[in-house]
Amino acid sequence: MDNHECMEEMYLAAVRQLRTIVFEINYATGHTYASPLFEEYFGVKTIYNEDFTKDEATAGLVYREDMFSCIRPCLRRSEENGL
Amino acid sequence: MYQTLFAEKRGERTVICRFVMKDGSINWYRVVLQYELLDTGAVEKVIGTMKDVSDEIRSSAALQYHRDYDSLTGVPNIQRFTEEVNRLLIWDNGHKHAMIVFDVERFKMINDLYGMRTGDLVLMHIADCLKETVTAPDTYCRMHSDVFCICMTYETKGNIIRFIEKFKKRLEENTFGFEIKTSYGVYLSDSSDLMEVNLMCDRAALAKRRIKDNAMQFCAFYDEEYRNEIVKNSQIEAEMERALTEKQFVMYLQPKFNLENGEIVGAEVLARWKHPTKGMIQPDDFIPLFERNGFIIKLDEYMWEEACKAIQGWRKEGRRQFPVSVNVSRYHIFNRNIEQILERLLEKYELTPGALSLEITETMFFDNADDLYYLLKRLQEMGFRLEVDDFGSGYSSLNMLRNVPVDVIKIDKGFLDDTLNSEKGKVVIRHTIAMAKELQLQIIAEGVETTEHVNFLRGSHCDVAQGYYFAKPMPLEEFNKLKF
Repeated sequence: MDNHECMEEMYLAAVRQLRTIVFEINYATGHTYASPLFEEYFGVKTIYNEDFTKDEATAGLVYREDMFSCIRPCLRRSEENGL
Repeated sequence: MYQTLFAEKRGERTVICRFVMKDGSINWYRVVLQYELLDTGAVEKVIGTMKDVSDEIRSSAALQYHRDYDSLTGVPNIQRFTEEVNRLLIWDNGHKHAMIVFDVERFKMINDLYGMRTGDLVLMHIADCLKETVTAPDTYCRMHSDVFCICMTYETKGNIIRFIEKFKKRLEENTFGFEIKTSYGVYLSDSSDLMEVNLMCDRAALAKRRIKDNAMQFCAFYDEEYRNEIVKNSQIEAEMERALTEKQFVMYLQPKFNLENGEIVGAEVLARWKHPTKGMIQPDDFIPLFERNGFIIKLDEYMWEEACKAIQGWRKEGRRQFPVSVNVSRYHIFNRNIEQILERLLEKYELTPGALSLEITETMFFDNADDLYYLLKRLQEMGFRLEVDDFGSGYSSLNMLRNVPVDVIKIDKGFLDDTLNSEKGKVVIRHTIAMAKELQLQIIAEGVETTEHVNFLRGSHCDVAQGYYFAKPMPLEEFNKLKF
């Protein structure tokens, strides 16, 4: 097992023990990643947009009454300036 | 703040919201998003973490609930109410606001008679009625025990009265099997009157106190005059104990005269309060209050002792002896020691019971006829002379003459004034005197102030008179200058 693999294993163990989900969305490269707990908890494998409401797979995960408070922090700078 | 973050090409945002889990349950998550931005401002990369914070949120919400709401009834508590009313007063200051404080009459009796659980159910019923009847932005709270408070906007005093009547009626619709009676105190503020919430509540609560003075009333409004009276009374109450120990209460004596020969045949003891800063306080300003708070017992007993001292002094000087009348308050009727207290005083000053004449009022018979009858019987058998003060002011005078063991009746001043204004009145008073004589009772006319009074009483064969016509009440030193 090389260093990289070792680090990844430790990292996954840590997030599982902390019961924390981590995810990454790289819009530049098109790469997305969500730690296995996300699928385990929500039944969805991948996150394509940090604004969950923008993607069909994750939109249903956000509790209806909290939709607005969830969207607001995800606004782009340009959108925010327009508020 | 965001612009600064974006200018650094990096940003972080946090959101806490609920997510629907795979199994359908709902949990709170804290989502932290870290952005990396391109020079154009567009998002290049997002790294996010999601942490379940449901326990944290729920316990904090529970804490918040317990901080703000009454655990039994679920209505806001006074802290929450204060915050809400403050907001209401600031945002809605174009309107007039009413503060209504109300409680359940004899709530303790409900608890004692039907159990604490029933008492709790009554409070919960009140809470339900409040939730139904009071609509936002008007608000309400449970202040403590069975005391609730409502703050509402209003146009006219009539609006408030109608609301209270409606609310009262709604409270009465219940299945407890007993009546829930409530009483309300209201403070009305006008739109310019931005007052502290607790002060508004205090004023409404103060208004509610007025209801205690009037059994027919269930609602009273605050007014400044009543507040001043309460303040004055509370000052008197704060000073009364000290006044007694510092001997600020002074015995005044008003002589009683034989209408035939003009001799002094008795004296009545009257209390005066010589206040060190306020001067002489008249009995009307403190006796009714002392009768309400029970301090009258101490004052009466102090006056009894002063009277005994005076009688002993006269005896030592070889003066003519006559009975001195002292007041017996309604509190003494329930004080089983009254006989012992009087006996102890007589023994201390070496007097016989005939030295004192005990004055009771006719109105005492309304509530305690049996107790009073047996007490008077015992006192009469001990040798005390018994007088009925204010005879004619009650409604059972004749019945009382027939049944009660008394030796003297004192015709009330008001009764005397009224009867002298009409022929019928004169007939009534003449026959009362004649009847009392038949029953071998002595008659004393009080409040005799004019020659017309004196002539009429002499003509009606009244024995004894007392009043300003003959002499005003006076301190002992002055009384001692009289010839007897």
